[in-house]
Amino acid sequence: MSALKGWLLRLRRAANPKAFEEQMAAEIQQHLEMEAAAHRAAGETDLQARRAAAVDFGPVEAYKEEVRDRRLGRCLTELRQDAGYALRLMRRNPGFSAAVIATIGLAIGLNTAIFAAVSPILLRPVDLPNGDRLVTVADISFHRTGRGAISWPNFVAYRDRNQVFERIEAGESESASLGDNEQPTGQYNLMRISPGLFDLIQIPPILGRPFNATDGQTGAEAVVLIGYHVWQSRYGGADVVGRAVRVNGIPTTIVGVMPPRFKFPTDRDLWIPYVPTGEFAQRSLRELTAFALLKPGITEAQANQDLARINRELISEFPGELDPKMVVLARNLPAAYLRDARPRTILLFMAVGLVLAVACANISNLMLSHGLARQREISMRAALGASRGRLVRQLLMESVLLGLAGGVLGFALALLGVRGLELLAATGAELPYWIRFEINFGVLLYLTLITLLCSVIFGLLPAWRSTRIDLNAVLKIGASPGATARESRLVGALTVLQFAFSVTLLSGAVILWRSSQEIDKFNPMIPAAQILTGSVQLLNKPGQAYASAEPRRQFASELQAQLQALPGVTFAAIGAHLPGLGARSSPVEIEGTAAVPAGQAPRVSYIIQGPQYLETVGLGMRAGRPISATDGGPGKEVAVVTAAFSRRYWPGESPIGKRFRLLAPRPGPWLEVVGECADFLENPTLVAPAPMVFIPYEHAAVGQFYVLLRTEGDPAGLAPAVRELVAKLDADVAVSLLRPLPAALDELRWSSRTFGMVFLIFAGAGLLTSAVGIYATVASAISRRTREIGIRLVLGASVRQVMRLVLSRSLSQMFIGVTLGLLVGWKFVQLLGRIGLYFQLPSTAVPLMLGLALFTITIGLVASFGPARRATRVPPTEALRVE
Amino acid sequence: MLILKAVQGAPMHGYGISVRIRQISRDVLQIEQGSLYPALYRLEEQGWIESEWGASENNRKAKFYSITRTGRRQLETEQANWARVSTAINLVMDAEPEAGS
Repeated sequence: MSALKGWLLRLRRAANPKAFEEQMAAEIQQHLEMEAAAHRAAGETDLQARRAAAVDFGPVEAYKEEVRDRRLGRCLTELRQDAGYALRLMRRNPGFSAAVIATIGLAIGLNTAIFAAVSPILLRPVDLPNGDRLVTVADISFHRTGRGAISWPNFVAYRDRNQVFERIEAGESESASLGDNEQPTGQYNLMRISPGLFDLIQIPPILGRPFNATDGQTGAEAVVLIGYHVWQSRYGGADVVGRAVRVNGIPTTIVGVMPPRFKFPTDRDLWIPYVPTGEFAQRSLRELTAFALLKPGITEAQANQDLARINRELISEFPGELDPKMVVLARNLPAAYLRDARPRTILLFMAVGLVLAVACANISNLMLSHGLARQREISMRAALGASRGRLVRQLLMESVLLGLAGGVLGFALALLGVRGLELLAATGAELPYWIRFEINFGVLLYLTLITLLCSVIFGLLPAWRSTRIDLNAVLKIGASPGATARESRLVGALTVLQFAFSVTLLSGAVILWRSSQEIDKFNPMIPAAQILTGSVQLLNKPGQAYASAEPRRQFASELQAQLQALPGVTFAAIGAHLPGLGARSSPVEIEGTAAVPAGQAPRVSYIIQGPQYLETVGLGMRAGRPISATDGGPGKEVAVVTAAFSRRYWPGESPIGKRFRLLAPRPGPWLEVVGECADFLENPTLVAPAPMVFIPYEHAAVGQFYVLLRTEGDPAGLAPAVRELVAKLDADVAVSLLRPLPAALDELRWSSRTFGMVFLIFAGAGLLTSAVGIYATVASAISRRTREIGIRLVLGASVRQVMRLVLSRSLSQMFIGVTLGLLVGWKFVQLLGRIGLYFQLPSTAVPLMLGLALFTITIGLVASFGPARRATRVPPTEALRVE
Repeated sequence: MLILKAVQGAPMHGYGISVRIRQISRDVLQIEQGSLYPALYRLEEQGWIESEWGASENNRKAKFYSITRTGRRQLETEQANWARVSTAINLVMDAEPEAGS
């Protein structure tokens, strides 16, 4: 009960500190007066009495402080005091504060952005119900990506005979056209799925109904589920359930719309039921990937054993129909889809953690010199009775406030960073649709944690160090404590490392940027900016309109003729590949040479093209003629070769009239060379043009090809006309990816551009911290040696001599760091090339690296000359003056 | 403990408590007077003494402290502890020295 009263008392005192102070002062005053009265009664004078009372009592303020210390809310008051003081200090040193906030803000922002990228991939890899029990089942001996290669009958066998799966469904990806009577047909990514697949992953459509078992039966009405993006962009969000459309030319009904951002499994927009009829029921068609839900408690290893058992049974039941080498494995979804992404994100995370660590070390160094400069003030406080803990708390408050400000800046930068990540992910990587880069609660928590952690870390050491004082030594006039030898070495090593780190990253960034630029100069003979390209996919599956070659040939020749007739078109053509974006490859046999087995024959790259292709891309003829519209039929098997081919196989002779044939997929007919054209690079990895040939489309009519249109003006303006034309020719065929050739080539640049940007940002952060670091080191060295500098100047040393004295240490560290960075950077650049981030080392690589080294050194010099110059400008009388 | 004993009998102000302790201990215990106050404030917050403003001998306002019921209990406990400890120490000090020690 009295304890309760005691607590109430504490609260009352905390609530009204002024009254409390007055009471305490009054009480103590009373005490002193009574004691003095007693002394006076004993005969002493008034003065003696009061003095005796004061001595007997002891230090009044100290005891008052002791009482105050216990007061509830004392902690808060102290914090408020500390914060106010720290803020005033920050305002008084704007340059220092800005440098610290910028450095830590950049590092925190980078870290948070990368964490936003890493956490969905590493921590929550499967954002689906029962995600941890979902697996893909695929034959990995067939495709290296481990997806697919299961036939429908095998899938049925796995479904009916397994003992480890709660449920198993399957799907197969392809490209398909979606058409209706209102708008041009579009090309989309489609997945043919067993009807229960969306049931398995428990994602229902937001409109309409999911597939049911009857949808998957032979003879059922064709139905389709469309994705949210298709619904919005193509149908404007209208009520499409029940609408009649055509998928790959087949009349289909839309039965539902899937939720926003749903693209199971990675980037699919349409889903139709897999109907096991005809060839889709054959054991030889192996396109399916199965998705299964493991029974609770079953491991992947157990599932694999079960699958192996079923495979063994199937092989013995259907000898000859199944590949005995097949290896069907169950793999959890992250392993199946994120295998490449994971190590890369871990690498990024480690790199950015390193940036943060270096930033903290740097700021710690900064704060150390800052704290050392306040030695007198700190000692004064200690003399007045502040405990070491109190002093450390005060200094920590400064670093915490700076850190918090940096955290706010970091948050803003992280927002930008995450936006950038979203854009990157959309254009480049093939990530599962459920991976989203966003600032969510977890990311914010991470941001807060590292902000606080960093503030404490970079503040603690300097605070501890600054408050270790020898009162006598410091209060003595003129003495200024320096850093210990060990500390100086640490700071020196830090400077070297920072510069090395920055130069390494800059090397990577600059080389990547340059090599991505040089792609512009790739194949300069081709006027890429004037060529519009588009991709056409004919429905050439069995049973579809273009299943045989003749309809394809007709469509292609009609298309080329009509495209050529479009206004504004100089040349139009079709081809299986765009120039510079690859080609097919085949072993070749030259007439007149000894026949060798296909495995040992020389290989050649070839492009299947329609008439006018060479004119459209601007490859001039060196001899003979290009392929014309009448070539390619029986009796007219001709080809055009490049100069490199001619030089390789008929050196010194004209290739016209010579013959060769391609051996893959089957030995073809002998082709007669009718022309030789200029060389070009088939893809950017090549340094010199390789032998290439051009085969007429008539001869090898493929179902997927590109259209190319050359124009004088802006090629993009032709796109609507091309779309209309194709739609008129065949409403079920879509032309997609209509873009000028440079945009298509841009895809080659994606990895160098992206990583180049990332490294540039990291390098920028590193450079900033290096500059700040060297500035701080030089500034603190100067402030420590102000008197010495003054003396030297007075004694006649020149400004340059003094500056050299002060700067020599830091500058030599910087040079060592830059040299180290160049060496490591060279290795780093080679590593980047090996992992495929760029194609070729730019020819100017060495000058570029030397140039950036020079740039870094300049920054370092500027950063260190600032304080040095200022020091020498101070008149010697000032410098020599006390403190 | 000493403070609690001092106010056990009648309410007293801070100066009076320090005088009393000095008196009773026959001037042996001369603690710095100021150290009384942090202790007084602590004891009050723990509920073992309570305070009240009143008039002192020379008719000035002074804060008088008196013991509470829990304070009395605390005093008993501490007195008992002290007795036990001091008895034990006395036993050790009065014991016959062992041969050779």
